[in-house]
Amino acid sequence: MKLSRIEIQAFGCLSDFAEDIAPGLHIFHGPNESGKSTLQQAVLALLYGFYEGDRAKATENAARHRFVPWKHPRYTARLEYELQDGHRYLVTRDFAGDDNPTTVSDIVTGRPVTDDFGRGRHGNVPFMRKQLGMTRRVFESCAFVSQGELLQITGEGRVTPQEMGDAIISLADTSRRDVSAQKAIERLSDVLRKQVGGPAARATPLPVARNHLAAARRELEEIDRVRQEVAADAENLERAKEQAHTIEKSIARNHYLLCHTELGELEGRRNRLARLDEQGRHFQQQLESTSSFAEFPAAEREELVRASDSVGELRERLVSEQPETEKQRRRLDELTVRRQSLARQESELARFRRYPAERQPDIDALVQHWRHAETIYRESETRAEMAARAAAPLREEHDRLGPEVGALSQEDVRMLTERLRSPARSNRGLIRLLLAAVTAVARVVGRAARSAARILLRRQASKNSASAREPQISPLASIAAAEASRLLQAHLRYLEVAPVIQKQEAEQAATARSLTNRDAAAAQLRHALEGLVDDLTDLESACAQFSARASSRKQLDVISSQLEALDTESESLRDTVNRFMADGERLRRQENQLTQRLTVIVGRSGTVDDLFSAFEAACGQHRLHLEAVRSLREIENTLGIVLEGRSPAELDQMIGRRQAEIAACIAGNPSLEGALSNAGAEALKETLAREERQLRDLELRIESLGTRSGTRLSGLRSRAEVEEEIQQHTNEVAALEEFGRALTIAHDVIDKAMTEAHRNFAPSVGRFLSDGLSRVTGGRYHKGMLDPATFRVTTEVPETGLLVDVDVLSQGTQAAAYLLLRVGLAQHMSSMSEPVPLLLDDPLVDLDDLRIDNFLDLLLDLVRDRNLQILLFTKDEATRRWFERNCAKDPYCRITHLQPIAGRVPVGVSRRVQEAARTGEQPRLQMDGGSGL
Amino acid sequence: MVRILHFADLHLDRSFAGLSVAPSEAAKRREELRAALRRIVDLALELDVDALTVGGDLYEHERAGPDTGNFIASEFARLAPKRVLVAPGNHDPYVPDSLYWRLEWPPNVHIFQTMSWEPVELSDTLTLWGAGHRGPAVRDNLLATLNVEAGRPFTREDIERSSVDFALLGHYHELRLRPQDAPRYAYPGSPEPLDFSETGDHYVLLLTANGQGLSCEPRKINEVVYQTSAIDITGMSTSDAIRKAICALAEDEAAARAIMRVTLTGQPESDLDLDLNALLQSTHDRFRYLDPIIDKTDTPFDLEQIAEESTTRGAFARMLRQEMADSPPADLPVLQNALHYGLRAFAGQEIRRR
Repeated sequence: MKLSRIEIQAFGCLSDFAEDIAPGLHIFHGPNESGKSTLQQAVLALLYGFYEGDRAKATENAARHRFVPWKHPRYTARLEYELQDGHRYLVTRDFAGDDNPTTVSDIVTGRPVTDDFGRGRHGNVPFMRKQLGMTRRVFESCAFVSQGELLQITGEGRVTPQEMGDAIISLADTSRRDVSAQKAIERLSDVLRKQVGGPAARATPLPVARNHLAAARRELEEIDRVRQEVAADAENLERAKEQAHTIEKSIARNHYLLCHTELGELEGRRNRLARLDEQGRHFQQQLESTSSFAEFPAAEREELVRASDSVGELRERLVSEQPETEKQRRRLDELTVRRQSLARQESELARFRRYPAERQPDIDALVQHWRHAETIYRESETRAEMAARAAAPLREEHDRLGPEVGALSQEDVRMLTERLRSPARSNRGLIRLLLAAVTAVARVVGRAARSAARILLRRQASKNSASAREPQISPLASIAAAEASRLLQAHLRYLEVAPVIQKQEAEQAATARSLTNRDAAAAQLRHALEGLVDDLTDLESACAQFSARASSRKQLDVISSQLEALDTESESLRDTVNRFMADGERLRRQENQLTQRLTVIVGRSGTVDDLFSAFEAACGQHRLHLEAVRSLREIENTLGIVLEGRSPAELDQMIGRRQAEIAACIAGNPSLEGALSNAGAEALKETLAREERQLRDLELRIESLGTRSGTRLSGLRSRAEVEEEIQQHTNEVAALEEFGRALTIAHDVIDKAMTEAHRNFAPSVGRFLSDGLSRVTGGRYHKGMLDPATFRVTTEVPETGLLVDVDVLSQGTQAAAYLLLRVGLAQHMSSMSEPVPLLLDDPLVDLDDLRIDNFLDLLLDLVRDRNLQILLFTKDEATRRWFERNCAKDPYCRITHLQPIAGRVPVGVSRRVQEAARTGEQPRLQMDGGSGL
Repeated sequence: MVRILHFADLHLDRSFAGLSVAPSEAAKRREELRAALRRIVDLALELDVDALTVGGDLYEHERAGPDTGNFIASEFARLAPKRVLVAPGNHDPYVPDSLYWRLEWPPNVHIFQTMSWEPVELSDTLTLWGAGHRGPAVRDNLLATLNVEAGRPFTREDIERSSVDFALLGHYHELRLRPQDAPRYAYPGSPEPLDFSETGDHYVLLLTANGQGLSCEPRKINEVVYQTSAIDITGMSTSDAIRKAICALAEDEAAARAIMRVTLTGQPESDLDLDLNALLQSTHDRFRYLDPIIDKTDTPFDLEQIAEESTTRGAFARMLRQEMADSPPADLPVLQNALHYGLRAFAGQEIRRR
């Protein structure tokens, strides 16, 4: 956007002011009170008006009143500008009244375009918001620097950092000012919400389409369900028809079989009637032939038969028992004889009745003990005799050697042996032989005689020990060797003889002990038998006597028990014989009674058997009579049953009808002829009734199924229609879902793009700051950064390398930094969209001349390189000089010198008025009263 | 001489769900199928044929109701005493709940009820053998009983090896005479085309048997034609221009009588407000039926230029183009639409579903 011309009838101290504005750098230079700030405010008021909304605020009213003209009655102005796309517009505002009439028109076509932007109250026509993409506050914060407000980018009455960020993002949205990314997102969301529908929506197209689809699917399911039922009905109908057909055939066959069976039955009845007639005649004859026995007392037969049977049974029993009874009678006789014999034996043995035969086990034990002692004694005696015989030839030698060498101890023997070894070396061979002999004999005898010798030596040793205790020298130490040899030989012989003698003495002592034992056993036995036998002289015979007497006593016990058994058996036999005799008597009595009664009934005499036979024959005749009577009655009843209340003629008629029906069945189905069934007529009738019921049910079912099949589908739409509807809804749902997905993707990607733009603007402005600071400060500060959250500017101090807030640096550096920030923001926004004109009111007052030059150089580069338009209002002479040095001949740059208000005529206006006067054209600004400028 | 008129695959009561046609048009199409049967019967009467044969799929079992059955019966009754021989197909199998089974058919109608061959003597010298489907799928080799071995569909060799003189078939919806020079078997195709894949004319077959042999002659029977057209709208700056282009199609009389499907292609102008529904409403009366217009146009925006912008819009375009490059082909349409909708949102244009 480039401002091209401003015309002011009256605005604050300015009146009748008009100026073409350079497209690049335009410096309005003048001293204080020359209207520089008023002109800057006039431009702002022309672009944005004084009011942001339809309701006037007090501050906005105050701002408007602040610039009410001092003298001139027309509080109006006009501004021409051109957009980057070439469109040129003229805005005219009248600030006099509260309504602030404002018009915007296309300069080329002359068409008023005010209404294109919407028209509010108090001149609120938002053409700048739409064309530049900035609100008034954003514009003031970045592109509009008024005196004393350089450092106030944000704060009270200014934009917040967030608002500034949003404005930058908004500018980054698009090249078109009236559509932002945020609006695009809102539009997409709106379309998504209205044309598709969110998850919770119910009435939007997608849920509606889904509901329609679900409903159509349910309808199709219902149609399919009904069709399946129809198919099932059709199958059931066919099945029912087949069943009905089968049952009809079965009914026909069973009807034939029933007719056939009934015919057979009827014919059977007719045959049975004939048989009953014949039987009736037979029984009538029988009745007549037995009429004389009609009154026979056959009722007594049962009693008489019982009596006859009783007599017969008794007789048979007696006959069968007679041989056994005879045998028992003979046995009884034998037992009587036997008893007598035993009684005699018993009397003979009666004297042993009190003998204590129970002592026999004790006596037998004593006898055995006594005999054992006797045996031991005999054996001991035998051994003693043998020992005596062996000892007899040695007794004399033993007695001789005993006193001489019997008392030699082992020490004595050792001394004798030493005596033999020491002095007689010459006799060493002899001695060796002697010693060898002594050793050999000693070894042989040693073991046998060791015990006896040990006893003797011990006895001798005790004696020797007694003598050894005496302190005397043995005489054996001084005897001659020959004597020693002899003594040793004698000692050896003694050692051989002594054991034999000792054994004989021991056996003799043992024999004496066994004799004592035997005598003691005999005494015990004798004592036991004392009183039981007559003579105890001879123990053997006494024992035999005891045994005989004990045996007799036992025999007596046996006989007594045999007698008791005989008595018991005899008693039993005697009872049997007596009972037999009584039964014979009873038989005779009963026979007599029966004979008497039969004689009376039969009317003649005879044996009981003859009489009973006659009685039985008469009873038979009586029974025949009764049978004839009963049979005739039964025949009568059977006839009624067979005819079942019909007459024989009617029976014949029924037979005829059945034969006709059978013929008809065969005519209808010849294959039935000859069919047979084991079932009876009743079973067939039941079967037929059941089948007829089944057939009726099936016929009803067939009719029902047929009717239902025809009506089931009525009321349902065609399946094809529903399928088409489902397909339509399916397509619609799919399309809406895809539409929604595409809208959502577009929405999300725009959101991401916005985030990216927001993320990028701070570094971009920061780069401008860094370059600008370096350039303005002559390289002292070469790094500047912007915090987008606070719009605070920091820079690196070259001495410390630390980043510090520019607020702590010099006033000049702060002014430079914040001025660069404003310009940086404006150029960043311009780079993204419509270039923003910068309106700077004495921003360089705090800078030294060098930095002013540097800064102006920077602005000039922006004008030339970035196509920015800058309106600089200043009183500074250095700036003027700089302009004359650098831009005097640049067609894109211009300087307008303003004079103090009192009596001044703006240079530009005077020139235009002069020019108008020369050419005779009507000046474009008409002043009140018709006087031209 | 014996003459047989043969048709197949009429598909009465068919669902036209696949065409995305309006319900009223679908009902109209079904009525046109009935009209085709009337014309076939009229043709049989006109030609005075000895028999009318149906090679299956006369109706669609799942959809046909008693009304359709009664309609068929009444049409076939018009031919009495000429015989109508129906071989049920996979879409109209002879099953208990089928119209064939449930309805009372005129005496001149004979339905082949089994999958085994059944002879019908049409003259002393011509016997027609028929067999019908008993279910929607047939696995038995029918021709095996006629001395050939074949699966389904059978091959020309199968028929040539068989003992038949001519096979009147059904199943394929376009006319097939094989071999073309001396046909031994023929698929007549559907009497009326059933969707946009069945373009061109459709036929019934007139089979003539005389002393010299058999001859087969296709007779055009269809009234309906499906047609598709594409219009390149590049350079058309207004909807009116497109509307005129669509209307221009209807200047061809055949196209005007056709069931038409129009697809828009090319690069539209960026200011063009392409409202397909409005286009359809303003042009459909020029045609017998105009299917919903399909938009296959490219996006009207200069994506290359937009992608170079340092604006949010440029970032948006760059991001989506990158996502399109990284996505599988199946996701491209929705991403392209997202790009289109997003750019229209930036441009403040109305967003319509494509």
